Amino acid sequence: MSSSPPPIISVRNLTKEYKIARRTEGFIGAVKYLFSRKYDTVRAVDRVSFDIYPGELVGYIGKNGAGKSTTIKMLTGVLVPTQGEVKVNGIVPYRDRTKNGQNIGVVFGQRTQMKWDIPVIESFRLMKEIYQIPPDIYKQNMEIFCDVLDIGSLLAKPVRKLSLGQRMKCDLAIAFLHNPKIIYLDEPTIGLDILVKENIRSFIKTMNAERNTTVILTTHDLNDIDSICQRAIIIDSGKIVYDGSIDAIKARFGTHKVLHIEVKDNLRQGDEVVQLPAGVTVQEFGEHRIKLHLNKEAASLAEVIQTLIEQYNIVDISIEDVSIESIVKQIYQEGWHE
Amino acid sequence: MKRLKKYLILTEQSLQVAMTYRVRFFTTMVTGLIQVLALYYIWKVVYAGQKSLGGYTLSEMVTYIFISYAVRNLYTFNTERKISENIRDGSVIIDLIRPLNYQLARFFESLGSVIFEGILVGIIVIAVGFGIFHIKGPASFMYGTLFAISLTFSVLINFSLSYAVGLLSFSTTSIFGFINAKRFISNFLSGGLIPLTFFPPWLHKIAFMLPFHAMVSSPISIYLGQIEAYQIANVLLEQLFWVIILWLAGYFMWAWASRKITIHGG
Amino acid sequence: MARYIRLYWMMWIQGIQAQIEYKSSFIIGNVATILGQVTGIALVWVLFQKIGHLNGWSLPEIMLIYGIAALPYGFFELFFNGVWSLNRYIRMGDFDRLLVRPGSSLFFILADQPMLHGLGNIATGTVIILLASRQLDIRWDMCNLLILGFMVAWGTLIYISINTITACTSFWFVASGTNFLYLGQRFRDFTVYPLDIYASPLRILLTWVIPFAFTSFFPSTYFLDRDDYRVFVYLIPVIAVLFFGIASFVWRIGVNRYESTGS
Repeated sequence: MSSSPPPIISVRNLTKEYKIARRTEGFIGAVKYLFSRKYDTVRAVDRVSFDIYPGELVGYIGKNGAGKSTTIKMLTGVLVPTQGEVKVNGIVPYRDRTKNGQNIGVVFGQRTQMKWDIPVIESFRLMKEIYQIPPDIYKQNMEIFCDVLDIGSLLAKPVRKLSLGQRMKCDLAIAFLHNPKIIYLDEPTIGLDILVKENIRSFIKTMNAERNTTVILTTHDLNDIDSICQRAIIIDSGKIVYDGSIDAIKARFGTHKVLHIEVKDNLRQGDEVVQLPAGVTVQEFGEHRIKLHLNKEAASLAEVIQTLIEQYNIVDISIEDVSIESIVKQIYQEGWHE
Repeated sequence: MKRLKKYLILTEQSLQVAMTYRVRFFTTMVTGLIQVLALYYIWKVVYAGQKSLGGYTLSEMVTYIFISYAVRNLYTFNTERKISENIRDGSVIIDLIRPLNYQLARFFESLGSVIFEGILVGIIVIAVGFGIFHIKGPASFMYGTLFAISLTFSVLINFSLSYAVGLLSFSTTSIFGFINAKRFISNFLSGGLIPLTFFPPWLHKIAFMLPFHAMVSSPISIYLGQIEAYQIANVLLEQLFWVIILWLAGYFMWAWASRKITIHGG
Repeated sequence: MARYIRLYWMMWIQGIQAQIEYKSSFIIGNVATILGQVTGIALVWVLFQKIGHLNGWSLPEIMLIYGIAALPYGFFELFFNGVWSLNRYIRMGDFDRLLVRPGSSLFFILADQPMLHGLGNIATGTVIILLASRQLDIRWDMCNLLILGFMVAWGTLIYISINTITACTSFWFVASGTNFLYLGQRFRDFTVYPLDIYASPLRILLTWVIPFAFTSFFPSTYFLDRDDYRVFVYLIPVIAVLFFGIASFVWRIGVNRYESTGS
């Protein structure tokens, strides 16, 4: 085998700082604010480095305000970094926005690229012009997108008449329209129902498989990452806390479950759940509720539930995967130990 | 007192918001000074070789433009914009479930920018007027006091008009056209740009049949002492008349508008 | 270039399409614009009821300046009004999506929001010019029309430049809620009158710093045969190109220090 191709995105020590004015509350605060302002410097992105190779599907994960969008905006050329280097397809994005723009497609969360009051198709026609898409490619892509995303019937409608899901599907199609090498998706499934989510996920996977499009995705939804991405970069407080395969995360946390148990008994703070196997931690205990965190590898789920049934008068049990927030939190607190 | 307090907190908060924007305050002030300065030069040219025009000497006219600017500056045009934005983005619903009178709430809210941008900028501009351009003070202490009362009425008249225009958003998507139209008409017919005595008789008559003159022309005539003491009561009563009429108009418009929300869902 | 013209045309048509969706808005917007022009010229008319001339300028002469002033502004609104949206776009985070497009971001913002009520300004301006010309005996032959056309085109470019520069302040001051565009526009109010009625600091300002005088007063002097201002007439294209250069430069600096909102 030959050596792997050079990275399509290369980031070294990328840093972005913001200045934020400090305010105090109330009327006096407002008066003070009027005359003198103190600024805090906030590092939204702090010396981040990574390489992304052509055709990779990367999930960029983090809590709100962790620095996800700021990174994406530096990659797309919207923001100029405070420090560090960024190269996308051999171009420094903020220095050559025009050239970079031709190579990329972007979906910014719930912000549409389309014009609100005119039919959807007009926005497609405009993008054809903006990206100078050859007619045959335009035609071919429109056919594929109408088919896969099922947007054919929407094209004649004004954008304001579309539902959120319909709009997102159209925006996604627009982002892919000029066959970009790289696609950035900033929260593409937020607020959408499960069917639309599935549709969007399978579309992204298809495009990646057929055209080798590199996809960088930020999301809150662990299922997005799970079904689309091979690799995850986890960021917290501007720093990368994990960069590796999704499988490794799943192996580590996929076996982790959260149990919510509702009981008839009136639990008191001092009482503790007794006789629980190792690998189970109590996260909440009180009133009529117990919340447990357990690792299936260390403790058998059945055994735990059995123990609980013996001990309490159980009304309801629900079992959940751990949330992205708690994974990030845990990795951040404990680090990633192989 | 307690009832007033819940409205005053609205004023305090909008004042705080206004104070956050200190660059805006600065630009408002600079624009004001530039405008008045330009008018000053224009009128100086106009008065070349003339002693009196439209019943004003040059020094009275200079006083007029400074005071007129200060008065017009109290009429920030944010009221109608805020109301129409609230209506269009649907947040007006929140006001419906609050135990506040919508009209009063909007009035006390508007006072925030009146106090900060209106009064403060006005004081600075007038201070420049006194210091550099030797404009006249009010005719007497009594005239000054009555001027202040008259000014209060004009703020109320302007608010009521803005409020009514803002509520038009319930039935039109073209609110900005109405806001602009209101601004152009009221600038022209209020005597804000040129004293109404310059108008030909027919236009003068029309101007005095409409409420706009009570916004600028009336308070300034009191300030300059152009109205005999015994007639001032008439001027103030006329202003009060317009305050009541326009406030009621706004009241009924809100009744109509809120019925539209509650029955038709906005 | 050809690509940009095609693209511009398409964006313009779409922008107009979006606006005529709201018919009443179109009508009332234009009515308000016309009202603004009419009350403005009525003010001059009212003043001339009391005086014979303004610093040597007659009413029709001032009307000509007034009318010509409305044209480049109207064309600016009708074709390049998008910079007015810049402040809002930055605040709402919508500017990002223009920045990721291949092509000049200044171009995309200028072409973004054409305003149909520019038509109101163009129409009233034309009517006022025609009324003034009748009394001034100005003949609008092919040659004069062509010259006026050029002057309006350069004037429009001056509007684009000044408004771009003032709009760019949003890159620095967006959090303070200030839009210097409004401040810049206030200086436009002066240029509907003859420049020589102002004190010299203001004259210098309107000629060399915020050169609105090149959009109305100087062009008018050509048709009024005021040869003493001829050199300024020749300077119109120079000023337009120079200020457009400055505008592009300021735009580049502004975009590079742009801080997108949101995390």
